Amino acid sequence: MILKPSCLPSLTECLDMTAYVRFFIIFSIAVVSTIRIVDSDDSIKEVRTEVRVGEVYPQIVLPSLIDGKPMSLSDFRGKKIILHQFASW
Amino acid sequence: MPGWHQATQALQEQGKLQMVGIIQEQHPDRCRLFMQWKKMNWPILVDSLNLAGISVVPITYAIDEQGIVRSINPRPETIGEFLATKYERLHALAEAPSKPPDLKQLKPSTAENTVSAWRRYADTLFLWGGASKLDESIEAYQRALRIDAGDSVTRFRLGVAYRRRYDLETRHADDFQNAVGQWTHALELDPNQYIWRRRIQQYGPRLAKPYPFYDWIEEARRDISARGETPYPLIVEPGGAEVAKPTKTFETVTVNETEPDAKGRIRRDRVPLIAIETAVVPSTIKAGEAARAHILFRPNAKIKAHWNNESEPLRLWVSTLKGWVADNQYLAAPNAPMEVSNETRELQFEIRAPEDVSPGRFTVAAYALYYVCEGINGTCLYRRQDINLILTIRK
Repeated sequence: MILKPSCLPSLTECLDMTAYVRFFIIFSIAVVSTIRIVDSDDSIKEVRTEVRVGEVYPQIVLPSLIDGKPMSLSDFRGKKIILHQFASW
Repeated sequence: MPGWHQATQALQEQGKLQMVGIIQEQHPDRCRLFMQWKKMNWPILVDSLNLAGISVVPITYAIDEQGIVRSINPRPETIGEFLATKYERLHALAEAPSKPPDLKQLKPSTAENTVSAWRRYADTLFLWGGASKLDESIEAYQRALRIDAGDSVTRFRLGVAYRRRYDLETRHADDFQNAVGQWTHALELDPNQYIWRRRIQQYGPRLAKPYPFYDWIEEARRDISARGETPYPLIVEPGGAEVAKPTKTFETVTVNETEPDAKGRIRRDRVPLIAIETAVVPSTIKAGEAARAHILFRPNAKIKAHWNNESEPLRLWVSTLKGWVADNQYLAAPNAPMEVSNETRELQFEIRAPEDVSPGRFTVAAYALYYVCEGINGTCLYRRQDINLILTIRK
């Protein structure tokens, strides 16, 4: 973390953006590592428990509700997406 | 998500935004009815196995043109800002179109005998192999659990596969109880997984439910029919636990009738003409907690057994142990309107363990009484069948 000595009273203002991002990543890793990741030998096809801002949403191919055909988010590349994970209850 | 639907409908129609849903449900066809009801036309990906690995719903992601997550759980009113932002291009857009993994290539070799290899193979069989590969999928999940019995993700998915098979012609009588057993075990290993917890609550006791789950279905069908459309048909009709309202106290029904066959004189159905399947949800409880029993009665198709609807309806008497309470001790399943019929009937009741009970296995005895007929124009008989429900109290 990069901190300018003169800025200690106001931490957020004094962190430059890169440092802030770095801080956030370190913090996130600390949080996420407490979640049990089941296998150490998972390949990229296995999805992690958390998706974070700044990452590509994992390529999960799933059946479409309408016709059961394979579908994934990459079918919509080039468009802005709101992905809503939900259940009908 | 109707909130998101309303907030984004115009933007979607103008082609400025793509809404995509991923649903975390055991019975995805119910969501299809929901979409019809709410006139939602989003593309929906079905994730019954929770490959997305999330532990709660709903979660919303704003994702840019390259597939990069730009915010998690944004508010609908921030959509304009998201759409106006030009994000730096970090990688090429082109990707191969979605296709399922190749089943043949995925079968784990002896060399890669790992939990994740077997689980991935099982996932693929479940998602893309159709009903004919479901047995193999279940076996592959079991292989993964033989390598690591503590793999909670595999346990959850094995439960989903068991319940899927239970809803098909190829069902094994204990598939539902096995599903609940796997989900209960998975949740004990990871109590913070609320997607898994909902799967138990959906079929479980009213005390543990956060909401009724599928009580909206009747209203949806009425509204859809009133519009002159045909409601999307469901594979499994939700009932009992899946539509019951949550309660804060354990409510009981007062039974004024006396036990119908206390001396056990009524002849037992030893054929049986009616096959009985049971499941207790959850499969283990703590002292003072409740479990919900599901009892299914299936007329034996091989001998063309059927219900006699002109007689007394099917009844179920529950004999509770000392200190245990049933919400209803004497249940009845209504007859069908025609003279005879052979539909599956179901009765559900809840039972609460005493506060001071020690851990262990307990048997709750019940018996069913019914009029059943053999073959076409065959004799109709009044029969009793005894049922033992196993309840496990854990620490």
